[in-house]
Amino acid sequence: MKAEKDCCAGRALGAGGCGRVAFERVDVAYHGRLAVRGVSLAVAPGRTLALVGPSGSGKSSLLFCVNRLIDLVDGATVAGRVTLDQRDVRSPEVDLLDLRRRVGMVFQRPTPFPFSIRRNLELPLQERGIAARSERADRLRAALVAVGLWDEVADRLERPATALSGGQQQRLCLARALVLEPEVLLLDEPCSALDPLAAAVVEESLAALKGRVTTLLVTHSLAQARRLADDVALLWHDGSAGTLAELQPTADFLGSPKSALARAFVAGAGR
Amino acid sequence: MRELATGRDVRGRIVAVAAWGGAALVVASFGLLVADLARRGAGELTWRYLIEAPRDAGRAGGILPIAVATVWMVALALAFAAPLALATALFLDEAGTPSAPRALRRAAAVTRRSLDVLGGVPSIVFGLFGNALFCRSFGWGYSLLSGAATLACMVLPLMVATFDEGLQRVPAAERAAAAATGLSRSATLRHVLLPRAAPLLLAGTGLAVARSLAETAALLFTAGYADGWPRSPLDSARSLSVHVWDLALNVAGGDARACAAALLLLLVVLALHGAVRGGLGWVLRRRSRGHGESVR
Repeated sequence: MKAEKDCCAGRALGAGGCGRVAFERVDVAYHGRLAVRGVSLAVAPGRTLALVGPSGSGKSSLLFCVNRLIDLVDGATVAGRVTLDQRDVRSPEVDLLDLRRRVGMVFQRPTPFPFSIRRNLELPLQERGIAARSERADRLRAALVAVGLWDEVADRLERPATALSGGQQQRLCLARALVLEPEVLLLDEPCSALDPLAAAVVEESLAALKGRVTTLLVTHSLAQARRLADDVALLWHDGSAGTLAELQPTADFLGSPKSALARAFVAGAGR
Repeated sequence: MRELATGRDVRGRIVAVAAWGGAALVVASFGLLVADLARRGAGELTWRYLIEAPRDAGRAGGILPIAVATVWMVALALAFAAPLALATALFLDEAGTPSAPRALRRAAAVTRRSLDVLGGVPSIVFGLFGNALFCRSFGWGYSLLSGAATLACMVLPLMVATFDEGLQRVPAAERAAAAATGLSRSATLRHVLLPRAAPLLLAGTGLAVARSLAETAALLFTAGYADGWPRSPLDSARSLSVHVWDLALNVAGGDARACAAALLLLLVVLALHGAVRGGLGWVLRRRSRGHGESVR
């Protein structure tokens, strides 16, 4: 805990922090209807937190708060504080583009841009002002290697990204998020739209990243949470909104859930 | 269709007959139109007709200056309308985002309604408006410029609507991905929105050109119908469709010539149609191949 504090001390958002994410009494509402209520939790740098819970319990809503993609959702309002390295991501001095470059995201469905594999990775780098060709090439390669895609596409980087298989597309999207060397990675059910084989490969890439970047993973699979996450947060819709029902290290959550809800969830999902 | 045709119930058959009949009627009326124009005008449509200036009010000679004026008029109209239409469509798109301020949304709603109304205004009204504004207030007189500006006003609603539709069809997931990747607004526009919307941008432009080519009423009041070479944008000039109108209505013995000009106009529109289709195919092929990079 101490090391974490030192790492973040005195760093301004945008100066390259270490990726501590915290929610403080966060409410999310859509068109005035509460979807998430009073969620407080923190993810230490480099840790992976799995957000689990039934559909509609607000897992993705929380995720979208971190990179403020929630701003793009019609009628969405957020209350409370969401911080990255102790700075409120919604404070007016936060540069939104910079925030989103520090917080990478992978969606449920692969979202490659409709151009070549190379361009998919180079565009974010160019946009970030990395003009040196050699640096871009290095980063592109590193990102593709990190997701295990380099060997598969090294000789066809000019091919359209949309021609890749679903699993490859998803790994390309992961590489696109990684190419900017983010401090935080948001994964919104990254394997759920893929066939089991492709999902396994994507998960392997995610496992290889573990510890390198703070990760928030929304998943419906407790098995995946067990394999990837350090901690598990269970969100539950209590009838009026999604709330945090339990937060524990993964092994404890799965082995000895504290609340009755978590016990039921683990038992139900494990069946 | 096959299911309809072999349908056992009477209603199915009636629907099938109506559907086939409707389709046949469309094809037949187009065929008849072309055949009629060709029968009456094809004889006049010679090589010299294309490269000579008209003589004797169009009864003799060709139509080259008119064709050139038409190209100029349409090109100028596009030059006025396309950037404005794109800017308006982008404004409407921007105002449609949830984070847009309320005033912006309201302004967009008013803009949309105005465009809807403008889209339904008869072209003769545009002609009178263009005459008052461009010919008189701006002092451009009966000229290519006045005609083009009036055409631009006329095709603007059509172009904005098509461009807007193109932008709206960009999948929300792709916009979200662009935002999540930290792409700036201009980069998102340049690399994601515009390429995605390209087919409809092209289609909208094609529609605007076709509409401009077809226009007569609005141009009579703004560009006039001098059939000589346009020496400057401030010269009065005659477009092909005005030429057809003039020959058919005002020139005794101009019928065959009117049909020839109409046939030519029809061929140009058909060629344009082909070009837009070809262009669309090219855009789509280019996309499926990557971003213009060559395939190994």
